[in-house]
Amino acid sequence: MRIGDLATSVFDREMRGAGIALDFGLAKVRVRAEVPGFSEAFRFLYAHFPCEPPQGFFEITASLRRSRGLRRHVRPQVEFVVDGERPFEPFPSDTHVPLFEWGVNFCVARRCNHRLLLHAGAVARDGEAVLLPALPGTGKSTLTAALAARGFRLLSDEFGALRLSDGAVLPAPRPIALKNESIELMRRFSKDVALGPTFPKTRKGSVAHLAPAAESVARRHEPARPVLLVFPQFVRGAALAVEPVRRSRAFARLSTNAFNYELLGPAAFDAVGRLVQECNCYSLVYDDLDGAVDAIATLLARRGRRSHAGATSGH
Amino acid sequence: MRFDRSAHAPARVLLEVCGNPSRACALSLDEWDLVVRAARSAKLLATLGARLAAERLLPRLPRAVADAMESEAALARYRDQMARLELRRVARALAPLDLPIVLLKGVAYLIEGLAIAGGRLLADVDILVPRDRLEAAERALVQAGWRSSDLDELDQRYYREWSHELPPLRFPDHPLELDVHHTILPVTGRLHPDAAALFAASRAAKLEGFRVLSPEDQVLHACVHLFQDSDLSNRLRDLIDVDGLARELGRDDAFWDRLLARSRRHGLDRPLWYALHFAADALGTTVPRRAFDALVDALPSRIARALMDRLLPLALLPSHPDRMPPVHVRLSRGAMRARYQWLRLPPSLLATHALGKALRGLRMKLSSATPEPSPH
Repeated sequence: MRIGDLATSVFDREMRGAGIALDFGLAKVRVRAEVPGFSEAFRFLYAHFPCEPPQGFFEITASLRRSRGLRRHVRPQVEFVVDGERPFEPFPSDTHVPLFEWGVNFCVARRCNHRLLLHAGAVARDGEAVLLPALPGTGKSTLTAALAARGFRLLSDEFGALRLSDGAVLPAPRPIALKNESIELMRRFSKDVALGPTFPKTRKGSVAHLAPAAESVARRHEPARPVLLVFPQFVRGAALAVEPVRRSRAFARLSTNAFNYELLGPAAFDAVGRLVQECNCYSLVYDDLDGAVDAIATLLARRGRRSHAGATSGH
Repeated sequence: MRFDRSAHAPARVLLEVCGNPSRACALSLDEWDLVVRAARSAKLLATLGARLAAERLLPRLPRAVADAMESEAALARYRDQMARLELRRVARALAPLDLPIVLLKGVAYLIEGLAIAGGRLLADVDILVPRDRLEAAERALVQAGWRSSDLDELDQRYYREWSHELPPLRFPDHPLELDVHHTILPVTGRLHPDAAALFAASRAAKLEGFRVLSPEDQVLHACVHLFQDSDLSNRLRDLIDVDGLARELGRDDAFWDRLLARSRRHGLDRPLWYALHFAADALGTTVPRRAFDALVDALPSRIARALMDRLLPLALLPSHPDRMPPVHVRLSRGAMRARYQWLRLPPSLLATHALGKALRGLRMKLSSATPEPSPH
C-alpha cells in the first residue's frame, strides 16, 4: 500500500492520530500533524512512499501543531515540534509544507553526522551518481528537478550524503522545493512533473514542491557510486559553457560548502579527497535547462566510454 | 528506589542502560526509539554510545541506533577539538600574566583523559583563576579578542558582584563559550568552599600552561555544581558525571577517605551526601558504607530528605519524549527552581534582584511606544 493509494480522509485520520512513518532512505521520520490542508498536500507529494504504521526506530519524530491561544483564531500559525522542542519560530499556518520540509532538513543536518553531508543536488543513472554542489540561488534545485524530469533517478535536491566507509552517495529522495520563477519554468519544461500546491509569501518567496517519481522512491535504499561533479551556475542569457575544474579547486569548493565538513574533520577531508579523485569535475554555466541536461548526460556518457576504454587498454 | 518509582518507562530504561550497558542488547526497536530520544533530550546520547562502545556492544545494536549514536559522537568529538583550540588560545592570551589557570569540569575530564570525557557533549570551556587576578585575566582576554556577552547593566552587575564567574566570554565565531570562574560556587550562597585550598591542591594538567583540581576537589565540584548551582531540571548528565568520577577515582579505596576529609574541610558534606545518595540510587554507583556513615551529621532534615527523594527524580529526568510533562513534574521543577534561588541568593538580595528585574521590565514596556514587530 502506498501513501497515494489511501483516501484523503483515511490518510488525514492517520496523520492526526498515531502519525505516519516516512522512510526516505537517508533517515526515517515519524510525523503527526493536525493542520488543515497539510495531509492532502503531503499525500500528493509523498504519494509513492509506502504507507506503514509508525512503529520501530525513527531518526526524527516530528509534529506540526497549530499554535495555541489567541493565535488559533487571529492569523493562525503552525509550529514544528521535534522531540518536544521547537527549533524555530512558528510559520503562518498556510505554509505548513515548507515548514515541514525545512524542519526535516534541519534535523537531517543535525542528526546525520555519521554521513558527510555536502550541500548538493544529486541524481543517478545506472548506479552512477552526478553531484551538483552549489550555493543557494545557483539553480541547483531547478537543475536537479530538470534532470529528474528527463529520466535521471533523484537522489536529493539538497543533500549529497556520502557514506564515510566507501564514499557511496546515499539517496534521500524527497519533494524538490522550487522557488518563484522556477515553478512556472518546470511546469513548461515537462508535462509530467507532479507539482504540489504553491505556497506564496514564504521567507523565500513562492515555493512549490515537486513529488519524486515512483522509481526514485522505490530505489531509495540503493546507493550510487559518484562519478561526476558538476558545479552549476545559472546565468540569465548566458551561453552554455562547460569547463573542467581542477581537482584541488573542486576540493576547496566542496569543503567550504558542506553542512558538516568542519564537524567531521579528518573523516570529511578523506571523503572529499576520495570523491574528487573518483569523479570528473566540471563547472557548468547555463541559461537553457534542456541544454544543461544534455551537457550533463553527454559528460556522463563520455566518461562511461573513457572508463570502459581504460579498462580494456589495461588488459 | 526513588528513581524507579518516579521514572517513566523511557527514562527508566535509559538509567538501566547507563548503569548496566549489557541491558542494551535486549531492547526492542520501539524501546530504542524512546530511549534514544530521551537520551538526546538529556544530552546523553553520545555518552550512552561511549559507554556501549567501551563494552564493545555497538555492533550488537540495531544499525540505525548505532548510527544515531555515532552521529552524536562525531558532534562531541568536534566540540572536544574546538575546546582544545580554545584552550591553546587562552594559554597564549594569559601567558604574560603568569597566573595559575585551573581547568574545570568537562575540559578537565577531556585533558586528563578520564573515561567520562568519552561522548560528553561540551557546552563551554570552564576555567578558574584567582579572584585577585580576575580583572587582569578579563582584560587580557578581551585584548586578545574575546567579547563579553551582550548583557545589560543589571545582569553584568549580577555576575560581577554575586556570581562566581565573569559574564560568559566568546571569541567571535567560536562555537564554545569561555567561562572564567574565581571559585566554584556563587559568593552569595550559603556554602563557601575554600578557593585558596582549591588552588593549593591543584596539580599540573596534561596540557602545558594549565592545572586541574585535585581528584577529590573535582568530585566535590561536580556535586556542588549539580546540587547548589543548578535548578536540577533535566540535569541527569550532571549526576552521570558524579557517577562516572566515583567509578573511576573511587576504585582506589583510600580515595574515599581523602574525599571525606576534603569535603569536611570545604564544608560541602551536604551536597556530597545528596550527590552520592542519588547517584547510588539512580545509577547504582558503588559508595562504601563508611562514606554515608561519615556524612551522617550533614543529613538534611527528614522532611527535606523526603521532599528531595520525591521531587528530585521528577525534575532531574528528561521529559517523556511523547508527552507533555504532567502537573507533578512541572511542580517538581518549579520547586527545584525555587530551591536553587534560595541556595544561591539570600532572600534580601533575591528581593533586590527581582525588584531590579521587574523595574527593568516595566521600563522596557513603557519605553517601547511601538508594539513589538511581528517576526513575519
